[in-house]
Amino acid sequence: MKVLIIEDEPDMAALLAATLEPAGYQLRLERSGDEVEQILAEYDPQVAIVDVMLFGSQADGYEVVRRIRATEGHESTLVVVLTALVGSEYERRALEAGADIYMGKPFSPLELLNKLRQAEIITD
Amino acid sequence: MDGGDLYKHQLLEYAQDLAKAYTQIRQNQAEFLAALVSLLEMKAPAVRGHARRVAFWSLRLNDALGKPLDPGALQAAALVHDVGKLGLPDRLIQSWVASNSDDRRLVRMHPELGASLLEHVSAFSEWIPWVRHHHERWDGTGYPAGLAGGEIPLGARIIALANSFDYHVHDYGKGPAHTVAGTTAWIEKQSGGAFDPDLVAAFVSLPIEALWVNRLWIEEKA
Repeated sequence: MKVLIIEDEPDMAALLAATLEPAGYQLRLERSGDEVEQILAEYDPQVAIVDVMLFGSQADGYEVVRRIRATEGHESTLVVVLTALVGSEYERRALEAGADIYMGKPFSPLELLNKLRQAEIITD
Repeated sequence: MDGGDLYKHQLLEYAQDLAKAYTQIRQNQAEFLAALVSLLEMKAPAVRGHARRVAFWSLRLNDALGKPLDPGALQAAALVHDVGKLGLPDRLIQSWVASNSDDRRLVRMHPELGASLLEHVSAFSEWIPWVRHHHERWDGTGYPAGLAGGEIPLGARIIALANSFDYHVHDYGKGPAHTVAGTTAWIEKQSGGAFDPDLVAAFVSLPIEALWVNRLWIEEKA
């Protein structure tokens, strides 16, 4: 299963990779979502994990999620929003933008893996 | 929370998840072994409790020796030492009495059968030899390999003594139970015969009667 990670913090990206790679996921790491349509076209992931606060990018995570949803073929790609902005308002914004799963940082890696696995079962 | 703090907190989440996953794995293993023991006891209600009692005496022996073995591993091996009996015909699982040479040959296969069954779980590899060799004798006349003395893994020597003790002090359909004192005297006589002399010395140093009277193994949990 191919996973696209859009995360500007290299340490966080490394932790995500350390979580997902041993579980058998294939990864592509991007620090910005500005070119998300092109990345989707090249990589065609089944899952996208998107950080909300993307420093150095034009688009924030919500915008990236909206653009993923608007890309043909990715209307039902599983989108996970990860953010240090914790609260129901941020969760509502993430879900309104089109995310399937919202997780506040720090997140439980086991919970992330479980959610991905559950989503796989549903989409299988 | 700045980036450094968040990263620290995220690392803590990872550490906690790792600890949780480790605990869960250990618990799952213990539950799996308990299920195997229950299955054996369903087939042989007359020997209910034997596995737990052998585990109890094995742990006390290990304590008396200064805990040379990981108690968790020893307890696991002792609990399932007879699990290979599940591979025997039902009449041999139930009675523990082999009346002819064919049956005796079958019964003598149970340590190997148990070890092969447990080999499906790689995490058990450390203590599977203790199951395989729990019927070896110190003098080399046991089975399945005829190992002698220090060739026999310590865990197997411990389980062998605990197993014999529990076997003798219960009837298990084989005949009247012996007294604790009589069984202890018999074990002392078997020093250097069936059993490792150091283990026999450790065993007789235990407050056997007091442990026996208190029946502590009933409550002991993994």
